[in-house]
Amino acid sequence: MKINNSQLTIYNLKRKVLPCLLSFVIANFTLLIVNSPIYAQEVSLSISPPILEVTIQPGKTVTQTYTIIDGGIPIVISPKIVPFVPLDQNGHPEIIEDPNSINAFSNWFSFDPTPVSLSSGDSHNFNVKFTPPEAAEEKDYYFTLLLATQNDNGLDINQTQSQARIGANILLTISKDGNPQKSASISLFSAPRLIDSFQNIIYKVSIKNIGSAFFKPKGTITVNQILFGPKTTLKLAPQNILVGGARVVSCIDGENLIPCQLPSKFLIGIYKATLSFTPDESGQAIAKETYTVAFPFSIVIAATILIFFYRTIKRLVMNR
Amino acid sequence: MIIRLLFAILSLLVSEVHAQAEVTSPNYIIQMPNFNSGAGIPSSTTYSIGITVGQTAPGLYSSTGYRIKSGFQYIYSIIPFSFSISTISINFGHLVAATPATASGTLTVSAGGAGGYQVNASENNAMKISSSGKTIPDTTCDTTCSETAAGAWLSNSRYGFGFNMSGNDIPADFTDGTYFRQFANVSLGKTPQTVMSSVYVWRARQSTVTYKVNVSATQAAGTYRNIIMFTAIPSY
Repeated sequence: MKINNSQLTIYNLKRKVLPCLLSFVIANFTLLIVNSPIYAQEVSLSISPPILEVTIQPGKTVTQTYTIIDGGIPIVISPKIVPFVPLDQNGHPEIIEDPNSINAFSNWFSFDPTPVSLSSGDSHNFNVKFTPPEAAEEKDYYFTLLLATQNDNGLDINQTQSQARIGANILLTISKDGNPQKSASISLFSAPRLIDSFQNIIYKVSIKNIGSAFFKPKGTITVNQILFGPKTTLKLAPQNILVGGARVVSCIDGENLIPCQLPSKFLIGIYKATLSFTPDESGQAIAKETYTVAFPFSIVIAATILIFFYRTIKRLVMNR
Repeated sequence: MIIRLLFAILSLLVSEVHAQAEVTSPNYIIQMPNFNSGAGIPSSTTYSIGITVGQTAPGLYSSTGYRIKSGFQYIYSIIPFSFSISTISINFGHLVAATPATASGTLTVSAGGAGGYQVNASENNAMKISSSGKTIPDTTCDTTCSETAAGAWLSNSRYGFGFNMSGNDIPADFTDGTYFRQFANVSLGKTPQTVMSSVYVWRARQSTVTYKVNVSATQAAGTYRNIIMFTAIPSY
């Protein structure tokens, strides 16, 4: 059998080009599937540390370094420090950006306000020096360090531009002796009074700061099944509670914040829960108790219905 | 018998909740602070302090005049607080009367090193032509909506500029993709509003912002622009 040139070309095409083409398609398809999306215009900022707690004497100075990382496109960032107040009971701040509030503390902080250019992957250290004046009143002051991207003029089209800002909170306590009065009260410690055995007991905890400096509650919720049950200890998350405010406090498992609830899947009997904590490591210990009764209502109801039907059917059968 | 048992249990429910002013044997653990700052160590002009700063060692405060702790003590991971916006320029192109234009972007927050977070949003002003000051007003949706409450916006004869959100940790009033809000207009003295928030520690929470603009036939011709500011702050 003779093979002409055109047949040879097609044969070569099939043998060499098609496998290459196939490999190319598979490789591209794999890259498409495996790779996470990359955005050409993505602005990505990281800041560390996210919170700073300072107790300082009036007139003293301390410096903290903040590291900002640009994980996106090249940007220009500029810093500023603004006061904040608690927004809610969940630890969210409400920053105050009116010039008067910002200017009132302008001599407390010193940092280089010059905008900084960062290329993709660059990091930059911002040094912030804290020097509360000698005359500063002994109490708490709360601030947020904000780092904002700067926007260009954009294209000459209808558009909206996004500006990114990232913050890190500063909790500043002015104290001459370093031992400000820390005092707490329990504004809420509750659980359902009566539950079905298949339900879970979720404890709601809200703690109020009635002292003159922020604190972290250090303590537990200890749950005892009265009579014969085991003791369960839930650890309170040491979340900051600011002066004059209350905070809904979570529990903590390892480093995970979790709702304060019993891990058990079937509960029966009377459960006595004791919330006890101190503001930070010192201060007056505070405790409160609550009781919950767990009973298998669903089982009893189901059994009652079954017995009722059984007896009804039995009666009908007997009557026949 | 069952009814008697029920009465017996219900009678227990009338017991009071007791509050104690003091517990003599508190059942808790005092932990020494665990520093997880990824940034530099604090310093002063007279003292160079290592990683043990912030420990409540006797006499330390009186000699240095300060005590400092950085990072969240209960989170051991050294994960910076991060915030990303996928697209900084949202282009609507050529706007056609009564034909809504939409575009979207993604917000991503990693609060692994912080106990919760929030993202606030605001606009510097309504979309406007910088030279003439003509504006596309913020939407009032089909009936009503504001910077704090979303409303359905389906009608093409309702004009303005607004946004919808979907994804993680968004406000509950964004029921679905048809619900929109205005951005808080800072030039009118409005307070930036929370568009993402959580009280828990997360690695990467993501939401999608869909911007929508719809203009009437009488809208003045020109290039309309504004700036949306997204501020991500960790919880304290």
